[in-house]
Amino acid sequence: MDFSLSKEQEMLRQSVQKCLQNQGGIEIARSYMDGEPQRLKKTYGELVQLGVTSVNIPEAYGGVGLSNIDLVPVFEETGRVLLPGTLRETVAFATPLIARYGSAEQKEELLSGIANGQMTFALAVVETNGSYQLGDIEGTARRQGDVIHLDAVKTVVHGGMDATAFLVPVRSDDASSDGDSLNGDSSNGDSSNDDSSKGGSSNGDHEGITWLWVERDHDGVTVEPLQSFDATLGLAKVTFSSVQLDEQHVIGKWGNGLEMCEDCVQDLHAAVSAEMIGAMEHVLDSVTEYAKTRVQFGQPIGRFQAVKHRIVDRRLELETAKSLVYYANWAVASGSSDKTAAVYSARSYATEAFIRAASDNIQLHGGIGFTWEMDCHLYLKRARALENYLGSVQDFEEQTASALGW
Amino acid sequence: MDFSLTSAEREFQHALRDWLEQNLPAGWKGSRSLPKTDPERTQFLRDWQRRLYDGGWAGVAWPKEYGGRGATLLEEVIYQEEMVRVKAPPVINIIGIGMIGPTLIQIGTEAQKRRYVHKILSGEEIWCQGYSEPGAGSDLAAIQTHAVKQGDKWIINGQKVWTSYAHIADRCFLLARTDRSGAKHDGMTAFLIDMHQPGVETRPIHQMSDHYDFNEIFFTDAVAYEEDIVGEVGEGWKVAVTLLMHERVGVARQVFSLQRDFNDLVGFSKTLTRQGVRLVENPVVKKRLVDYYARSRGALLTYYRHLTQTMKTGHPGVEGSMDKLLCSELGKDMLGYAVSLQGAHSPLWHEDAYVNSSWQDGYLESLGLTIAGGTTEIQKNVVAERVLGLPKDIKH
Repeated sequence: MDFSLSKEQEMLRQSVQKCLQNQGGIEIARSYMDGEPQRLKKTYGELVQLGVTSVNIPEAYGGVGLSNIDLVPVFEETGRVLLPGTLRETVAFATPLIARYGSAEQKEELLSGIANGQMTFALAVVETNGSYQLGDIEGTARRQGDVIHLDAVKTVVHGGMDATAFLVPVRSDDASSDGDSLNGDSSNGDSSNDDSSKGGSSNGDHEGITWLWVERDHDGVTVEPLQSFDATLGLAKVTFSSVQLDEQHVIGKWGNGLEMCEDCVQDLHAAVSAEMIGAMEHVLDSVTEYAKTRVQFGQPIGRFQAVKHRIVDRRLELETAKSLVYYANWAVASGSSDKTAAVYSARSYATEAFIRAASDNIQLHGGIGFTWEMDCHLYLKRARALENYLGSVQDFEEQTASALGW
Repeated sequence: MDFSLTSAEREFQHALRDWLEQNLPAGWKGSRSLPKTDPERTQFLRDWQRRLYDGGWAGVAWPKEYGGRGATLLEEVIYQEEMVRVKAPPVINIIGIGMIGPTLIQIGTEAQKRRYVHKILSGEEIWCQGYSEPGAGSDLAAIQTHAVKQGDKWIINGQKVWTSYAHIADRCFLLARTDRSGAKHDGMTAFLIDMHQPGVETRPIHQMSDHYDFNEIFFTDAVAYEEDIVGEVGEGWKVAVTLLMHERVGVARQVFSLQRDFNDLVGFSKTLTRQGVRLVENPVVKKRLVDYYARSRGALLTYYRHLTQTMKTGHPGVEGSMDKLLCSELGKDMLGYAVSLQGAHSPLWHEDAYVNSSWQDGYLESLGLTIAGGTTEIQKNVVAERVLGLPKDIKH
């Protein structure tokens, strides 16, 4: 038994950490917020040089052939500096989605694009109704001869301002007819998903979801920035208006998008959770440092138990979250039978622990913690923005319960 | 990252499982209840330890030359896991086997090893540990019990408290003050005291759980001899720390008990209903159970991460304080919830308990586990100061 990251995994952490520090650490996010994305672009290029975007691409397609457990230290480090952009969606969602479900041509083209940094992806999932449920999707894809017509309005697209392409789940018509029936063929047994994650959610509304990928500069695609209290996320509203696509833009089987999503979104949530523990660790390191140096009543405030015990409480939550997140990534990588419960319980726990840590960080810094100049608020805002990224805590808890058979 | 066991570890596990299958006390698997009163209770536990000893399962971590199995760290963890899994009776000489025996093997004199070590393992002599005093709980170095040299004897006076098993112990590992002139951490000495002498009186403490595991011990001109001193005179604090270092698997037992309690709680919530709906399906209950799932798994996995570090460095680190905090606080929370779920029946106890008394008993016991072995508040200081490097509390 060995529950620790390997030497190689820790070495990758070292190089990513060094790379991010060379680019200014948190200044990457700061300058991005100030409307200067160049530093982020440069950083992304450096990370590509380090091989970060190739780690989990199969060897057959020029990657390193490792799994998401090997990416844990990467995401911990990007989380630590609140790296903006599309690395997470590209590496932890697009790569597994394409590697598992893409056609040979897509794997060739898209995965090599990801590996060399030319292609980055954002997830255009949420629609104006705000629902995370793919069953609530209203955007449509219709086949007409060889052409697929895409019409959809997607909002709160993380990294939408930066991605070169979008992954878009839409309601697709029945491929076998040209009518407007939304009922997909429920008997298409192509699912490789034998996990218990479906948890009673499979009803007719979920049929007929198809994943498309669309270049940002494709005709009919409009990207508009959205204002957010977390300006590091590059949130966008993306409108697909009469976009015409060829078959090459369909990922996986027509109408089979729900299962693909349930599968790959676990990789993504495992990665989000890893970012959260990296960010949380930074927050706790800085508040600990502050408590050692800030003097009031003639002594460092970290001597007061009201302060030190609060820091310890958050530290214990970090320890717990880290254990759950490492294990969740291991479970996904190894296909362990408890992976769904492991991922979603890690996601909900880490989410709430991160919020508490970021919030207490402000409190324990006192007045200075409430200022724009200090980084404290950036972490709280990230914690709150990720809280409801592709699911709420309640959703994650329900998914955990359902996976446990409750 | 690898959660598998080696073939040697699996063999160890299977050998223990087979042995337990054959050797758990008759009737234990059904009721799992100890005789309520002494001397039957003590006899039952002495017999159990003797059986463990005869089977070679009393001191798995002890060196082979002292009758142990020389188990690796992970084997010792497996041992605890299996014992919790089958809800084996407690080991009556746990303090002797877990800490005092290994300490004597490490730093005791040859005579002390010959005289005591074997009887600790066999359970012929039960040991207790005389540390806490009425005025020295969390602040252990404030002990006042003192030993004064008179000729070839040391005369001991003072009082100890919260001493587990003292009422049945044959000997006590005692920390006493032998010099008041210096700093309080200096001037202490560790003695091995005969409990069966006129100057030693024990009084059981009636605990809130209605048990009597703890005692007060009163020393009135009790006697120890030169050969009863462990380490050097005045080196008692160092010896006390050495003793604690032998808790090398830390809270293994508690962490596995947590997993078992969590699984039992889920099972329990499937049997209870409210307005015709099983509690496990009630959204409010379900949310709470998911939280316990994450936290109990989190405590176990955190324990494994720390264990990995211990295996790599060869000695337990201060991270054990985090494990202790996580387990004891979560246990109290979760067991309290198990009682609470019983609704109107929740205060019923003993023979009148709603299902059986184990939830109520476990909950009431859990209130002691955040105090014993270093309170939650002390553990937080330890983590703050020794893990995070925050300034030390003001101490006198």
